[in-house]
Amino acid sequence: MSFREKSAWISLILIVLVFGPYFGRVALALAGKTHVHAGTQFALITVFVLLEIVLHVAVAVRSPREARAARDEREDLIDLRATRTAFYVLLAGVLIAIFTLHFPVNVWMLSQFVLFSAVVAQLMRFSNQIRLFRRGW
Amino acid sequence: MGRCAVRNVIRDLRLARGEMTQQELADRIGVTRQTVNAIELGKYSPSLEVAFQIAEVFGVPLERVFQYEKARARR
Repeated sequence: MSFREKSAWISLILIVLVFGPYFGRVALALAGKTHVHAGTQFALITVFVLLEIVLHVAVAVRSPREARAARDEREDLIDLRATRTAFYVLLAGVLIAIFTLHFPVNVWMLSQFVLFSAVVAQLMRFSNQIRLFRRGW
Repeated sequence: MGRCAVRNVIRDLRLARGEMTQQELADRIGVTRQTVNAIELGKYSPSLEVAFQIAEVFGVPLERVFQYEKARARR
């Protein structure tokens, strides 16, 4: 497995593990069954970024040559294709977020929705990358 | 995307050159081993630049390494 594929796996698994339970809680909060502190979102993003750095460094230490190598043309194309799909997901999320402004939503709900759109877009990006890496192209 | 219309004999050329590994070829043309594997299996068509580099490594003309299959391309 190449370093880029390992990187995509790390990001995908981290997104699921970090943001999955969080949005479960947000859903419960929206239903009025629990409460999510405003600072949780920022703390979660910080934890996510730190875990990404630590795990990527750990993988890079195990295979430094691969980690240092520049992306080749196939890896570039895979990234471009996966990012294109994610862009449309994010765009749809932004448009829906703008649309929800016509309804009684507060800033907290809007920020959750924007973050959710970004997370889904990243999920699409990394899952597509992995699919293309597995298939060859 | 599946298999492409460009067939190649990279594997044969590697084996004929003293069992050159995919990693050795990858290092010489500046791509990953996985990319060489995808090219060999016909899953990925390389850019002209990489195709010429591969031909240069084996010291053969480009058309000896890659062949375009019209029948496959029309499907």
